[in-house]
Amino acid sequence: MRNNTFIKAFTFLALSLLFSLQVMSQEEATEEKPVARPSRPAFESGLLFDNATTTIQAQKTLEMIIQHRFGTMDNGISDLYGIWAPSNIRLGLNYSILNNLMVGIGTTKFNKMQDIQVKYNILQQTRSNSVPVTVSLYEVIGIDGSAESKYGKNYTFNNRLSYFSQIIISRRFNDMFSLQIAPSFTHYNATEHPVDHDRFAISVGGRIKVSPQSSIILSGDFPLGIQSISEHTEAINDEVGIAKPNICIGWEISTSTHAFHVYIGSAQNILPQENMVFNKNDFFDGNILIGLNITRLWGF
Amino acid sequence: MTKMKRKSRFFTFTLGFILIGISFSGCEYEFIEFDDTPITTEVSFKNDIVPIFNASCGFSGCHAAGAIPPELTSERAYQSLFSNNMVTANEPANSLLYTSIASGSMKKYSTAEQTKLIRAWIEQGALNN
Repeated sequence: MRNNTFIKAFTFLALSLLFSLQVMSQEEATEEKPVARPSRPAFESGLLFDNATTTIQAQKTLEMIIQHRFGTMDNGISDLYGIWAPSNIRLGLNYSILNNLMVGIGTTKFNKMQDIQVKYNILQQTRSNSVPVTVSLYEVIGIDGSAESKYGKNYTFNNRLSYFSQIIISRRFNDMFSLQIAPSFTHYNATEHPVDHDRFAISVGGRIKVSPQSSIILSGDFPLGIQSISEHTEAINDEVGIAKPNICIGWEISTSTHAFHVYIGSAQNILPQENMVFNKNDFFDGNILIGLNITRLWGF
Repeated sequence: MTKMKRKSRFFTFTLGFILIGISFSGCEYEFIEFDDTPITTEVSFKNDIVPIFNASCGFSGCHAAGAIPPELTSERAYQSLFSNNMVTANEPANSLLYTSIASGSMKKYSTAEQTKLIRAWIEQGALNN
């Protein structure tokens, strides 16, 4: 209960602060006549492997997303390094209501997860550097479509819900190099003992552009084991451990309407809350897999 | 204040309320509790076990026909489990079907309830009933 109150208070304060800042910046903007030109997006698409970036496509743009994760390479040639192993896939649609507001839906194979996403840019980096970073709020609500029996004898629909809330801060340093850092909070309404319901994590990502259409991209998601918000003793947490970091490195090819990622990573779950709480694949232990992302844009 | 800025502020507040609302109203803290009373009734392969395979295993790319063995389609699941040495009747601990879903690589695709049913079916002799 104490943890519950702490989390709610933290979330409330963080959101209040962010929206206060946004309102203040808007009020200040009313006094400035010349509007600073926004910089070009830090990343080519709204996706960076399993993560979101601060990039939101132009207003009235529909983005179709296909994310595919093969199995891990542990079994070597016997399953062609994971290509013949059970794979995960997500199909998604994102629509930009405004230039700084995107909503999306998606469906994922593992656990039959359905998701609703909202991304909102509260600050946009400017070319003059008067605003040095782009800041996004990103929320993913997941609905687990597994059989009721997964939730035991006290099943209610709310057991299926999970929430992923993230603040993404990115900076485009120059045409070649962009970086982002993104603290996040994940909550599952129902978990099996001894998995905690809450998990803070920090994600970092970057892009190094090597040609007009190609970039090397990398990212890491690092779930944090914070004992003070855990529902279990330190001994239990030491025994069970937390989700493994999701490390990804890959190649991005992008055009004005497409982005294509091919990469090696460690998490297979695709949805960020699933990766932050349940990823058991250790990149440095060889539990790596091949992933593909494809996005396609349509303007209306 | 221009109309555009009012619109932007409206969206800011609306989104803020939605996010704050979600963080306050949606969160619950439930630990899943399973019914751990042992199964004493007869478990039917056709009516109890095959539906588990249909719901969780027999997808294309997984254990569908022509994919990764064993084939867990309704028609061939029983024969395929035994021809691939996945089941030792009466011995769940020596049955790869059970160990892989109870603690192995297939654990993430199965629920505790499904695992319990498969254990009971093997303990009852793994019949094609």
